[in-house]
Amino acid sequence: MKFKIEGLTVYFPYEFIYPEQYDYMVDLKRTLDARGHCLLEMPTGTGKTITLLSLITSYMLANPSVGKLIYCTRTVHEMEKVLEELRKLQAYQEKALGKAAKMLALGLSSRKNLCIHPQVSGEGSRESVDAGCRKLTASWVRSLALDNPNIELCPYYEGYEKGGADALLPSGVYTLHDLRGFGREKRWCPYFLARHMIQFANVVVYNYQYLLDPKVAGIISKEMEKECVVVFDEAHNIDNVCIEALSVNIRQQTLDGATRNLSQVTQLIEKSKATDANRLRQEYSRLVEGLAQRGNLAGTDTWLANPALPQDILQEAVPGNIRRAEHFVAFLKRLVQYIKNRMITEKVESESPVSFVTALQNQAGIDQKSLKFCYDRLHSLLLTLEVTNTDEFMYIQTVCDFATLVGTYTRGFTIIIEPYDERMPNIPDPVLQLSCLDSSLAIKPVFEKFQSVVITSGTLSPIDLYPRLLNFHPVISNSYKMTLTRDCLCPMVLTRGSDQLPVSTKFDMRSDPGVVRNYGRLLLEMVTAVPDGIVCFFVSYSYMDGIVNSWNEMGILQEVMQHKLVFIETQDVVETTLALDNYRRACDCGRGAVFFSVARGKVAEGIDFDRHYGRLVIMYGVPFQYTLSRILRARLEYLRETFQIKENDFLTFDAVRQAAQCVGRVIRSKADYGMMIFADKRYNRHDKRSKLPGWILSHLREAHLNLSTDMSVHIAREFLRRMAQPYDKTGKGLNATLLSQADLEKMEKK
Amino acid sequence: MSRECCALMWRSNSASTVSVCPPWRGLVFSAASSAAEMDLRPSRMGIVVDCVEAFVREFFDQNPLSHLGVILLKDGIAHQLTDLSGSPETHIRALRSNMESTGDASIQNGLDLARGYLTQIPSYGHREVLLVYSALSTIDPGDVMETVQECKKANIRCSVVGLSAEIYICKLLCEQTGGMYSVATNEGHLKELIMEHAPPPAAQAEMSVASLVRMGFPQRGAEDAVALCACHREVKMGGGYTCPRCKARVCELPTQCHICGLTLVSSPHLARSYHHLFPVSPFEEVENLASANGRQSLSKSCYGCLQELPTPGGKVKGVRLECPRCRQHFCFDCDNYIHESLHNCPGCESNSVILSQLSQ
Repeated sequence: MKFKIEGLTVYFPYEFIYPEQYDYMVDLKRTLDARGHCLLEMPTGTGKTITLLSLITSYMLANPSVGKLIYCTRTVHEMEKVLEELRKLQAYQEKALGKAAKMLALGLSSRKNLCIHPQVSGEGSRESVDAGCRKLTASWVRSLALDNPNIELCPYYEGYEKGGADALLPSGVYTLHDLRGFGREKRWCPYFLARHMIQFANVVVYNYQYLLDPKVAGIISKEMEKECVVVFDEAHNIDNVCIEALSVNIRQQTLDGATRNLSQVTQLIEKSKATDANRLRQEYSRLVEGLAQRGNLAGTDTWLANPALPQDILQEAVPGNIRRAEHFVAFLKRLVQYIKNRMITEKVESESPVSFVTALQNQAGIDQKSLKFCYDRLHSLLLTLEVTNTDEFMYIQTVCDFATLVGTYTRGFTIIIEPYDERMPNIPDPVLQLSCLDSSLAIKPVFEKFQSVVITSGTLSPIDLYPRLLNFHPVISNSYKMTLTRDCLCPMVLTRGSDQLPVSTKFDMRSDPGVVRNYGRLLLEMVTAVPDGIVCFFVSYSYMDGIVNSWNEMGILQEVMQHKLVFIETQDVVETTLALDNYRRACDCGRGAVFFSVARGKVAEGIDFDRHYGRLVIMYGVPFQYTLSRILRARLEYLRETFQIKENDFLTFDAVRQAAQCVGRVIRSKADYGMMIFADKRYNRHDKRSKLPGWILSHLREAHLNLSTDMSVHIAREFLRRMAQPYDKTGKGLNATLLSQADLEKMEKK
Repeated sequence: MSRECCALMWRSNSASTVSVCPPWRGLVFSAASSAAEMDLRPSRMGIVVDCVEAFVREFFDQNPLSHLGVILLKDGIAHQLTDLSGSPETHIRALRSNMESTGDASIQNGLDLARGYLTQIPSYGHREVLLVYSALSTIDPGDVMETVQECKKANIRCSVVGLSAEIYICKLLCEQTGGMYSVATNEGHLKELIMEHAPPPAAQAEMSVASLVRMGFPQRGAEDAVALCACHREVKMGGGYTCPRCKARVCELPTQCHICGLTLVSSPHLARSYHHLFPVSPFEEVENLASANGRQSLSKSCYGCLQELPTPGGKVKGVRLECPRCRQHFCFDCDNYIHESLHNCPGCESNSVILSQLSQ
């Protein structure tokens, strides 16, 4: 349908629109008008994606000055879903507007997802596909192949090169699958085609990393114009993504690998000196003139850009002491050796980058400026040596990453050396972590560069904390409620067991057998009352292991298994996938199943337990972060000093958003229904509860607070019976959940 | 009310072979340990047995020609309580003597057993399974999905009445086989939901393949006659019916003759079954009397009872209804009687053209 919002004609591909979608559009439109950033929270299952796409593309049609829509998703799966929605929208717009609505939209992913070369695409990891591709497409390999026809090249890349300026995508919507199909048909490489077409596309869908990680963003997103609208979908963990983008971990094997790499590099230098000394000399003179790889590099030769943010990269000549290849290798050897020595330690050390660099200067004679250039210098060297198997040089790259970051930033980072894992103090496993503490660093260039940035998710509460964490000023931040035809959400706060003793995962209570038993009884009662699937989230793997063991000893687990099968998430991805698969089958065939999972785990983040796969989710305890972790301590301190965020506020915020994320897995559409039990007495406190998203809070009635096990079972039974009754899907009158075009016109007039 | 139309109905059915589609049902209900739960008073099992008993009586009242068998699920096994038969008393007796509930329930076993019996019956009948399910899970020996597909293939309509919550597999079963799925909220609602399944469903086009069934319409014996009863194997005095083919005496109708196996019914039984399957289409109210007047002269009296009907200027007030098939007009009372009790439009029955269409 077609309707107007404050003068803007919006094309929406469905017959009806939810009221919250309409409100969302209004706010979004105002943001775009104001050329500002916004923060919008809307529950999943209310059609957030189509709302965003529909409004922004309509806005682009009305205001041609707006550049691209850059839509960032977390996973490839989500990316494909977005493009499918967009295809529907595009078909509708074209029907309504004809040729004027033509647009080019495409998804971009790594070579691993786009490669169609029969051998290379069969490679396992992302790095090996990248390396396999470079072996066939690097500029020196291709120039060698001109003389020597025996050298193998990638037929698809050659086809794409031959196409030259004509190698373009016709307008339309392309998922990764379509791109591969198109590439096969035309015999063009889909990856390079897609990267080339980004500059012409109206809508680009790709991963967060492509904007936030400076290593990737430097190559992919540098060309994007300022007028673009950027959307971060499912952005509740965006601060963590930002931090990860600028953090480096160095382990023992990294250093061993780096040493190996360095000896390889030495050999290569020797070889190249013997055969083609001129090349190294040319590189030297290039370095004297300016920075490493400024200049015209073929598209296939670039790999990762500098890990530091664009504005922090020095545009100067490389310092003299690392200009010569041999000197640079010696420099790196000293650096690796120094880090190795630092890691031989008995106790945990933590220091700031400044003191680390000073120590480095004193003990290894490495100065800060040379450190800064490490990454670019290495990059230039590898190019000069014509290295194609980049995946083998990963280790030395990591070390250079670290060196560049530590040399560039003095604030917002910390270095922590831990000699062993906290859980296994007897096994030495030293790790050096350069941890970014300030999530606003990585996202700052995005806010500065682009005109509008939309951050949206199903769980962004408390919504006022995100602007402080990311250090920006949204023009609109809003949380929308879900209009429902029936009360299909049933959140409960359980504080006591059947014996009226409080339950909690507080540190001093969690191992109390009474609490463990009460938690077990809760599950046992629930499996007898709830059909199909139940999901339980625990605060950590170790806690889950402990409590499942105790339940086993108490015989609770055996009783549970008489009613439902039990599946457990483990840290092994393959095992977990298998468990999930079997869990789904058990739910399908009516056997019923319970899935034990961990908050912050893979399952809590990415797997939906909609419909019968999750009729009930029990959140055992408040999933606080491991507060003794050095990195967290450092971050909390930094947040307090820099952004005046109290430690407790941040911890609670983080714990509650994780809990909300876990329980939010259970409901993915309006036709769905599910119950959520927050099983911890601390949820009853206002400071925790009030941080839950609005759409959960609005269903959390006074009568569902402070419950004991038997009361919650009673509520559950009633709820399930009520939900099993037939209902009118559209909703009429006051609680109308669907608006037609006529309704909207009426609203516009008002 | 006119007696003629009733007589007409009897006459039309008095042939000894009639094509009908009586439903055959397997009634499956679970008595796994969950049925012992106390959320329905006095216990789930007690309530279910009460409701099922009422259902059995109602079922035979509404579908005298149909047969019913009862299967009980407990300890993971499907127990067959009664064979498919047409006698309500045997079912109820069997139900009452099996009230303990233990172990798990298996939908697959129940469906497989029911399917085994239902596929034996001739193809002209409806095959239906009503599952009264109190458990929240099913513990099956194999893949229950296959059984669901088998049921679909065998044209068995499966309906489920749940006692506590919506279960995905039951929902799927009903969706796939075209049945109804409902969940009871309380005792009264449960009874209501089970009773909803008593009236036979409207005939489905692909099911109503015309095929002839041989039936006997036995005469009721004289009150003082003494005869050897075939069903009780003893000498009985008075009442009873005599099979028109082998002259054996049976006590109650409908039943199958114990000697020659002929289906014995009385004609009201047949009429009732038959007309539930092909309901009389609802009559339309003739609203604009003046315009109807132009088409043909308005009949002055009701076709059923010959009472006077309202006319444009006449004294009689009320509504005038028209049968959409035979275009005869009826008064409100006759409309009620025809649709609620008679299930037969006298106008259509007396019109030979429509009648021949119907019997095809």
